[in-house]
Amino acid sequence: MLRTRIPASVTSALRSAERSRLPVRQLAGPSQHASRSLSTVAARGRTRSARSAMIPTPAWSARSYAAEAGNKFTRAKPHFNIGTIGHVDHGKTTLTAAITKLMSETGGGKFLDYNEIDKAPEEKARGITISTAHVEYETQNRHYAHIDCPGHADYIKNMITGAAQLDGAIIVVSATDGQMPQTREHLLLARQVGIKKLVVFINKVDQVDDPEMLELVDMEMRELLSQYDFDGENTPIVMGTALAALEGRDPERGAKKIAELMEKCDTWLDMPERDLDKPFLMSIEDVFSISGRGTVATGKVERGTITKGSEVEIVGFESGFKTVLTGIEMFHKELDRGEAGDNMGALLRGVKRDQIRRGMVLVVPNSIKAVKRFKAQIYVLTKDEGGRYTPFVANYRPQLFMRTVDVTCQLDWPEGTEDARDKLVMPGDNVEMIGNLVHDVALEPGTRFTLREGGKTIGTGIVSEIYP
Amino acid sequence: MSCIAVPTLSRSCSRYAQPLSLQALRYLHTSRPYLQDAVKPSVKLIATLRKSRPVPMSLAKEALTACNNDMKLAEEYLDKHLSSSAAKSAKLSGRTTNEGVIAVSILSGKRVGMVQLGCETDFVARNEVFVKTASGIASTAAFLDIPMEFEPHQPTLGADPILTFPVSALSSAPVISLPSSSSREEGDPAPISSSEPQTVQQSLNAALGTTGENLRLLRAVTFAAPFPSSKDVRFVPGCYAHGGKSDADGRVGAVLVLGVTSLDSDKPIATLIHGPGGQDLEQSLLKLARTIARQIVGFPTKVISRKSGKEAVEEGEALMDQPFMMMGEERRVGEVLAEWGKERGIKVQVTGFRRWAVGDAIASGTVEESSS
Repeated sequence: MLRTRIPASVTSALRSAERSRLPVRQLAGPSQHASRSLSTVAARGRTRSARSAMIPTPAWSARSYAAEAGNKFTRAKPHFNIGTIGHVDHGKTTLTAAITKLMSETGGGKFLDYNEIDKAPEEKARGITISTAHVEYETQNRHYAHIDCPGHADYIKNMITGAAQLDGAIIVVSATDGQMPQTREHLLLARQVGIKKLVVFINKVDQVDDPEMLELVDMEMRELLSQYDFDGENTPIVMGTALAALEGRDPERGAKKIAELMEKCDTWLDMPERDLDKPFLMSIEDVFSISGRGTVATGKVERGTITKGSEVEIVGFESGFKTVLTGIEMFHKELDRGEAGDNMGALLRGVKRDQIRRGMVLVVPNSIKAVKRFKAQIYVLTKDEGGRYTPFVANYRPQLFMRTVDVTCQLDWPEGTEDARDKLVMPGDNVEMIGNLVHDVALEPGTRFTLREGGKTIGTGIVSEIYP
Repeated sequence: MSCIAVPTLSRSCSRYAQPLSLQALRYLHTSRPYLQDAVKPSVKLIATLRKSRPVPMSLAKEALTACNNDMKLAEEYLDKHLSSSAAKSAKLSGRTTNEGVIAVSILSGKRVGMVQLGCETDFVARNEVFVKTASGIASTAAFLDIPMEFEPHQPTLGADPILTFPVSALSSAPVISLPSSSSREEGDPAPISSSEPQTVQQSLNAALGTTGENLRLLRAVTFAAPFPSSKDVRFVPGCYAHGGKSDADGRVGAVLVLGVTSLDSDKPIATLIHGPGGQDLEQSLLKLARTIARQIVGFPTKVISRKSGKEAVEEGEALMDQPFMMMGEERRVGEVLAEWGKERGIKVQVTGFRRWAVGDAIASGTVEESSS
C-alpha cells in the first residue's frame, strides 16, 4: 500500500480524509520516503513533492521539465529557499540577475539576464502565483532557489497551502528613496510567512553622494526591523549597486558587494532543520493487540528518529502518558531504528489497547503539547478551488483534519478584533483566526491542517500559536 | 512642474531669511567652519521630516535644502511639491493598477459614496497612506453632488437610483475628509495632511509620491437621498466593505439603496418616520440596509431578483433568492424582507445596488452591473 504514491495533485486534505476511511490492516510497511527516493529527480521536483500542495497550482504545468535542460542536479550542497521582497522600482530583478551572474562565475548556476527573470508579471496577471524555484544559483556553501514575492495575498496563500516556502529573504531598498510606507508591509509579510532572519540590500548607492544619507537609510532600516521583531541590531545590511555588478563596472560597489551579500546570506540565514533532525513524532493510525507480545501502534513517522528501548510519550485526547518503546517492526521484520518516512509498528510496554486510539501521536517525551485552543493562518478556498461559495462568520464549526485525526473546530476572531460580530470570511480570504477544538490534539506552531464541511474541503491552515 | 515649484517656495522661504541666517551664523561660530554646512540638511532633520512625511529620502533632502533646514517650511514645501508632482505620475502612468482598494462612505444615513482606487501591488493596497487616501475620496464622493452639467436627478422607485460619479469631475473636487463611522486608531503614521484644501487629484499625487506606485481613481458611484424627501417614498442607503481593517474599506464593497413605502395609504411613509417611534424605525431601516449590504458583499450577487436580470443568473447571484445569512436566517432574502416590512407596516424594496471587487474587469467608466 503505497499511500504516498497518490498523485501530488490530489489535495492532501482528501488524502487524509481517504486515509481515515481506509481500514489499515497491514501491520507495517515502508512508505516511499519522499526525500530519499527522489534523489534522481531534479531539484524542482524535490521542492514540489516534498511539500505537496493542497491546491493544484497550475503554474507547475508552465514549468519545463528538467530533462529538457539535459543536466542532473547534484545534491552536494544544502538547499535553501530564498526570496526577494521590495518596492517595484528598487531593483529586485536587477539584483537577482546580478547574483546569478556572479554566482555562475564563482559558485554555480546559470546566468539569467534581467528580461529572462522578469517573466513573473505575466503569470501574476493570469492570477497564478509566484513561479517557485524559477531561478537558482550556488555559493561555495549552499544551493539557493530564488523566489520573488510580487504580492502579499498571493504569497500568504502559497505559504499556508505549502506550495512555496521561504527559509529566508533579502529585503531590497533603494538608497535614494530609503524605506517607504509599504516597507512595513514587506516586513509584515516576512513575519507572517515565518521568516526569522533577513538580510538587507541597499541598492543604487552610486546615486547618493552623501555618506551620511546612507547611514540614515541604514539607521531607519534597523529601527524598522526591530519594530517588526527582527534583530535590527545584528541584521546584515549590505550597500551596493546591483546594476554596476551586472554591467561589470565599479567592482568596489558592484561585484564585491554582491559577493558580500551572498556571504552574509550563507552565514546569517539559518538552514531550516531537516525532518530527520527534529524530535521524533509518529501519528498513530491504528492499534492492535497481539497476544503474547502486547499492544502495537502503527503509523507513519513524520519526523525524527527513534531507537528500540527509548522512552516515548503518547499525546492527545486528554490522556497523555509515558511508556517505553520495546520494539519496532516493518514488513513483519524487527528493526532497531525507525526514522522519518517509515511506516512502522511500535510495540509499547505495559499499555492496554484501549489506552491508545487513532489520532494520538507517539513522540519523544515533552516535545509537543496537546491543546484545544490555537491561533492559525487560514486560507479559505474559492468556489473554483472546490470550496464554499458563501461566506461564513465567527462561531463557524467545520471539521478539522490533521495527521490522522479529525475533530470539530470552532473558529472565532482573535480578541480585540473590531466589529467581530459582523465580520465576514469570504472564499479566497487569508485570515488569522482562533480555533477551539472539542478535544485536545497534539499541535505546535507550523502544524498544517485542513478544514472540511459536508464532504467539501473549505479551507486549509497553518498553526501560528498555541494556548495550552 | 517641480522647477516651477522651487522658485516660488524659495521666495516664500526668503520671508524667513532673517532668523535663519542668524541661526546659520551661530552654526558658523560654534562648530562648523563653512557656511555651506549650515545649509546642508542635517541627517537628523531628514529623519524627523521623514517621520511626519514618509517621502523618499532624496526628496526630503531636497526640501530641507530648499528651505534652509526649516522644518515647517520643508513640510509645506513637500505638501506643495507632492500634490503637484505631475512628472512622477507621468512616469508611472503607463503601469497597470490591478490591485487596490474599494472604499465606501455613508453620511448621516442620507448619502453614500463608493470609490475604487487602484495601485500596483497589494503591499501598497494594505498600506495606511493609501487606504486613508481612498477613504478621503469616498467621503468626498458621498458628500458632493454630481456637478449640475450632468443633469439633476430625482430618484424614483422604478429606476436605479445610484449614479456614476464621473472620475474627471471627482478628481478636481476638494477632498472632504470626514471622521469615518467606525473608530479608527488615532495617531498612526500621519496621512498626507495639509493646511490647505487639496483636490482629489492632488491627494492622489501626494500618495503616489510617497508610495512610488502608479495610483489611479478607477470608478466612483454615489447616491443622495432627495431633499426635501418625498411624502410617499423614503430612500435609505447602506454600504459595507470586506477585506480591510474596517468596514469602510476592503477588496469587495457594496452600496445599496432601499426604497421604503407605507402599506397604509392613509399614513404615508413620511408620517411614519416623523410620527411616534419614527426615530427607531429610521434606525432599524439603516441597520437593515447595512445588513443587506453585507449580504450583497458576502454572496456573489449580480442582480436583485431573477426576473430583473437579462442574462442567465447562476445560483446565489440573485439577491432575493439567496438565503439571508446575514440576518441569521435560512429563508430567502425576499421572504424575510417582506415579513420584516409587514411587521412594521411598510414595504421595503431594494431599488438598486453596486457590488465591486478589486480585480473586476472595469468597463470604460460606464455603469455596469445595472440592476432593477
